Amino acid sequence: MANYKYVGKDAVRIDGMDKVSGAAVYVDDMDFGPNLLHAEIVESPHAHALIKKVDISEAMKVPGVVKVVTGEDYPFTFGLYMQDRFIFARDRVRFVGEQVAAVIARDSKTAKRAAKLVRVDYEELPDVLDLEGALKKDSVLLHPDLDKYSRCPWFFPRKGTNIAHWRKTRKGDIEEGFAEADEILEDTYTVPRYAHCAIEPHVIVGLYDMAGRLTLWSSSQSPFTQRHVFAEALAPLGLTHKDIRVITPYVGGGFGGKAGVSMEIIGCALAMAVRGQPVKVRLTRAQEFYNTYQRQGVIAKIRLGCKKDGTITALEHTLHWDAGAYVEYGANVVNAVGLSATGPYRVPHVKIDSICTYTNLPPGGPYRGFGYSEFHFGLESHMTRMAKKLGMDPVAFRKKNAIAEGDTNGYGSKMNPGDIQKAIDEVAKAVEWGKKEESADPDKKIGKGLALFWKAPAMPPNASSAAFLKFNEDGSINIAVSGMEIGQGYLTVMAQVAAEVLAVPPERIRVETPDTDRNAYEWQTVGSHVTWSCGNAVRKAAEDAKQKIFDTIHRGCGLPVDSLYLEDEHVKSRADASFAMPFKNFVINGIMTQDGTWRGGPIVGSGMFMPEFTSATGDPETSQGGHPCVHYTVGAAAVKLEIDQRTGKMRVLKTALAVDAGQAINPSLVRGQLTGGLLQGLATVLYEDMRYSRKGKLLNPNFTDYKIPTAEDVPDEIIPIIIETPQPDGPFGARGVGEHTMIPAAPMVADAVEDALGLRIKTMPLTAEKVALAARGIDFGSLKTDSIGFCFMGSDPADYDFKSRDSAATE
Amino acid sequence: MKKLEKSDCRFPSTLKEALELLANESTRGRLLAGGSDLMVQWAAGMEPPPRVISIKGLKELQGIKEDDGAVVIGAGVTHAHIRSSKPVQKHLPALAAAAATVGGPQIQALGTIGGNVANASPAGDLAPALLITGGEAVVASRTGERTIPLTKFFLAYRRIDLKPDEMIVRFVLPKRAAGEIEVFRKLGTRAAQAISKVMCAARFSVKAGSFETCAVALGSVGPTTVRLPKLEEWIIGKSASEETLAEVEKRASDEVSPIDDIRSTAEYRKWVSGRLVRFLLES
Repeated sequence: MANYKYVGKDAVRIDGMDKVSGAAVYVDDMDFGPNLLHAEIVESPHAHALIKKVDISEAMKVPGVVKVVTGEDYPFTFGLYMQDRFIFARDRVRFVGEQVAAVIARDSKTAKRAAKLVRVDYEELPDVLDLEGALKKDSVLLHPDLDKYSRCPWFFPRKGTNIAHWRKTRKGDIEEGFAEADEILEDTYTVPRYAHCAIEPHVIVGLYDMAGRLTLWSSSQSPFTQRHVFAEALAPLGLTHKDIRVITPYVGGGFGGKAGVSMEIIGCALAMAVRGQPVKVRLTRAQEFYNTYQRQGVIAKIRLGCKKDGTITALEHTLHWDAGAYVEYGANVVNAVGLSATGPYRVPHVKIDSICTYTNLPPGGPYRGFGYSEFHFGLESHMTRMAKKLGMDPVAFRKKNAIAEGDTNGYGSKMNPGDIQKAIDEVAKAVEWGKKEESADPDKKIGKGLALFWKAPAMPPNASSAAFLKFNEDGSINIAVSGMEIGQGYLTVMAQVAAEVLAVPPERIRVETPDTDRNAYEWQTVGSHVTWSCGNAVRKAAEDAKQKIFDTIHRGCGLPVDSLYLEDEHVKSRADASFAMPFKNFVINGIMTQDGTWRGGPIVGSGMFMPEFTSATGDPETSQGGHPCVHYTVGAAAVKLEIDQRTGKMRVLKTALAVDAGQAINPSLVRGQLTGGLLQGLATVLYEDMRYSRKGKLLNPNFTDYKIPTAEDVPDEIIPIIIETPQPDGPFGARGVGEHTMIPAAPMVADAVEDALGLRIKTMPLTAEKVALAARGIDFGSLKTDSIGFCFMGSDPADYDFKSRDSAATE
Repeated sequence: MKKLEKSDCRFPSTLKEALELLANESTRGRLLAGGSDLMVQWAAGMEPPPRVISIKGLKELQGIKEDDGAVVIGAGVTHAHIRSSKPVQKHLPALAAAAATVGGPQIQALGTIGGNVANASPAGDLAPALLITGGEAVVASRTGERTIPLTKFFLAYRRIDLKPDEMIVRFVLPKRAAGEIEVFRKLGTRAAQAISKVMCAARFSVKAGSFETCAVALGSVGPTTVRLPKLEEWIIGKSASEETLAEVEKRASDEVSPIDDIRSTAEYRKWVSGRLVRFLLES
C-alpha cells in the first residue's frame, strides 16, 4: 500500500463545525427580503382523471394573490431520461397529489387559502394501481402517446401498453443452463415502495430578474442536471443554459430523492411567471412523501439452476417494477437492474427481464441503491434457499459462486478488481457464522443471516466531472466543484485528494458547495460515483496546478522541472537541497528574477474526468456488446438477530458489513457510510411500511405512522470493515461505497428470521407483526384490510401470471 | 401559537376563573394544557376552534400528593413529573413506566395526565395504567365537583364522561397493596416515539402460588382502553401455573375486539394482546 500523507487519514469534516454550530446555511434559511413570494400547489385528489376545466377566478380575487398558474401556461414537457411529464398536469392527472395549478401570493397563508378556491373539474378514469391491472391486454393506458416522448436512446417503451421500458439481458443459452442443472428453485419476491425521509424537505427559490437571468436556490443533489433539465424545458421561453444559474447551499439529506428534477420544475416555472420577484416553493412533509420520488416497488420472479456441487448454471430473473405515474428518472433504475440482476455471481447462462410499468401511484425514482436493494432482497434470499436445498452451507455456496476479477458479467463485460471473498470471510467471522446460539430467555430465538452485494454507478456512459482549483495569496486553496455534500463527506474527501497532490493540509483547503455559474461541471451526486469521478477531476486539477507551480519555479529560479517536488507547502528540489520555496511566496504574484521582472502568476488548476471506456450501445435484445457500467463495488454483510416470540419484535444484536472501497480516502467517513447505510437498510426491512388506500391515496405520509428508526433502534453492535483492493482508474485507487451499505440489510434479516424460526418471508418489510403472524401460519398479505401495503392488489404476487400478458404486450 | 392568531384565547389565572369561562356558553372554549395533541393537530392543518382556554400552569391542577390509601395527581401534572415522582414510582409503578413511554422527552415535558385522558385516544399511553388502579377522576364545574370511577370514565372512541362546563381536576389513584405487582408494556413499531399497536398494564398479587388479586387493562385494542373483567374474575384463586397462563393468553385474546388500521391488523392485535397479558402476569 502506498504511503500517503493525507489520503487514508481521518481528516476532520470540512462541514462539521458549520453543521454542529448552526452556521451551515440551507435554502430555507436564506433571506430573500420582503418581496419574497410564496407558492401553494393545487393537487389532484384523484389517482387518474381527465381535467375538464380549471377555474382560477375565485382564487385571483383573494387580496395578496399575485398570480395563479395552471397547466395551460406551460405546454412544455420535461424529464431526465424521458420527457413524460408536464410541469403542471394538463389534460389528465395520474396520481393523487399531482400538481394541477399553483397560487403565488405575498404570504404562504394567503396562497394556501386561495389554493382552496381554485376549482378543478375532473372526469374520473379507471385507475391502474397494481401491476396486474397495468399489464392486462385491455388495461387503461396512462400514457397513450408513450412512443412519441423524447427519450434517451437506451430506453425501449412498448407502444400501446403501460410498459415504459424493458431491459433485456441474455447470456449463453438459458435452456441449456437449466438442462445442466441438478436442482432448480423458482419463487417470487416482492418489495414495496419506500420514501427517502430526508430531514430537510425539498425547497426551491427562483428569481427571474429584469436582466433576463433565472437564478434558482435549490436543495438538490444535481445542480447542473437541474440547470440542463430547466433549460430544455424552458427553451420555448427563450432561456438558454448560460442564462440559468443554480445555487445549492447545504442540503439536509438527499438519499437520491433530491437527484434529478422533481418539484424544482415548479419553482422554476413560477419564477418565470413573476419576473423580478423571488418566489419560494417548499414542500410539506406530506408532499415530501407523495410528490417527489418514491423508491419503486418490484415483484421479482427468480429461477435458479445449480449443479449438485453447488455451481450455478443458470439464472432467470424477471422483475416487474411499479414505476408510478411518470418514469423520467425511474426507468433508469429499471435499466440498471436489468443489466446487473445476476448479483455478484458467476452465472454462465443468464436471462434478465426488467420491466418498467406505469401505475397511478406517485412517480418512482432514484433512491440510495438505485434498484439494487430491491433485487438483492429476492436474489440473496434465493441463494440461501438454494444452498440449503443442495445441503450446502450458504456461506460456502456463496464463496464458490462469487464473482472475481476477470469474470464475465451478464452483459459480457469483465469484472473489475474487488475482494468479495475476503468480505465474506470477515463478516462470517464477525458473527461467528456456523455457531448456533441460544438466548437465555426461552421466549427469544437467535438467528443469523449473511448476504452479498454489488453495485455499479448507474449513469450515462459519458457522465463526467470537472474541477477548478485556485491558490490564494497565503498559499491556501479554494476548490470549486459541483458534487454535492449530502452528508457523505464529499467536500472533505475532495480536499484530501488535492492535499495529497499539492502537499497542502486539508484544513488549508476550502471546498465550496455548487454554483453553476462559478463552479466546474458535475453531472450529479448520485450512484456513489463522486469520490471516484470528481475525485479524479480534482486530482487532475491539482496535477495541473502542480505543473504550473513547477513551470513558475523553473522559469523564476532556473531549477530543472524534473528535479522539483512538493513537500509541506513548499517547492523543493532534488538538485539543490537548500532550496525550499513556500507556496505563499509566489502562487499569486509570481517570482521576481534578477532583473526585477516577474515570472508566473496566479496558480489555477482545472481537471476533467469522463470514463472513456463506457458505452450504452448494447443490443436491445441481449444487452451484449456495450460497456454500460464503469465498475462494481462488492462486499458482504452479516447479522445476528434476536426475535421475541411473544410479539415478533426483533433486535439486531450484532451486524457486520465489509465493503471493498478500493482505497478509503477518509476511513472514518467510510465507516460512517457503513453504519448509516446499514441502519437505513434495516429501517426498510423492520419498520417502514407505506400504506395506500384502494383509491391510490397514501395514508401515512408522516413520521407518526411511517416509522424510521431512532437512536434507540440502532443495533447493539455494528462492525464496519473496510477492504482495500485498489480500483485502477480511481483517485488513489478509490471507488464508491455510499449506497452499497444498505443493500444487504433486508435479505440478511430475512435469512436470520428463517434461521431462527424456520420461516421464509418473501415480501418486505419483515415487520414484527408480519413475522409474528407468519409464525402462526398467517400470511400478513392475505389479511383483508382497508389499506394496501405492497401496492399490489393480488393476494399472492406469486399467482400473478405475467407471462401471457407480457407476450400480449410485446405484440 | 401562530396557529391560534384567529382564535379567541383566554388565560385564566385561577381554576375558578377557568370554570367561569366554561360555565358560560358564550365564553366556553377548547381547553389547552400542554398542547402536545392539539398543537400537532392544528399544525397539521386542522382548523383551531374559535375559542381556546389555556389552563397551562393553573396551580390548582398541579401537584402529586399522597395519603394513606391513594396517590392524588393533579390534572395539569406533566408526564415528565409523573415518571420521576417518587410516590408514583413506589405506589403506581405501571403509571410511572407508562409516562416514560409517552412520545419523547420534549412531549413528556409538555403533555399532561389530564390532557392525555381528556383526549381519550384508545392509544392514550396512560389509560391502561390508570384503569388498573381502580381509581377515580374528579371533575369540576362552577357548581361543584363530581367523582367518576375511571372504569366508567371512557365512554366511546375519543369520548369521556365530561360535560361541556366541566374539566378534569385530579385523579385519585389507590396505591397498590403490599404484595401487589404492577407492570406495563407498550408495543410499537420501534423502540421510542411510536404510537402503540397494543399496550397493556396489570396489577396483581400471587399468594401461596395462586392469584389473589388481578386487574388487567389493554389499550389500542378497541374504541376505548378496556379492563378485562371476565379474565380478572376467572383468574382469582387459580394457581400461577403454565396451564393457567396458557388459558390466560387465550381468554385475554378472546376478550378483546380490536380493529385493522394503518398501524396494525386486528389479527395481530388480538393475538398479541393475549401474549402481552400472559407476559405481564408471568413476571
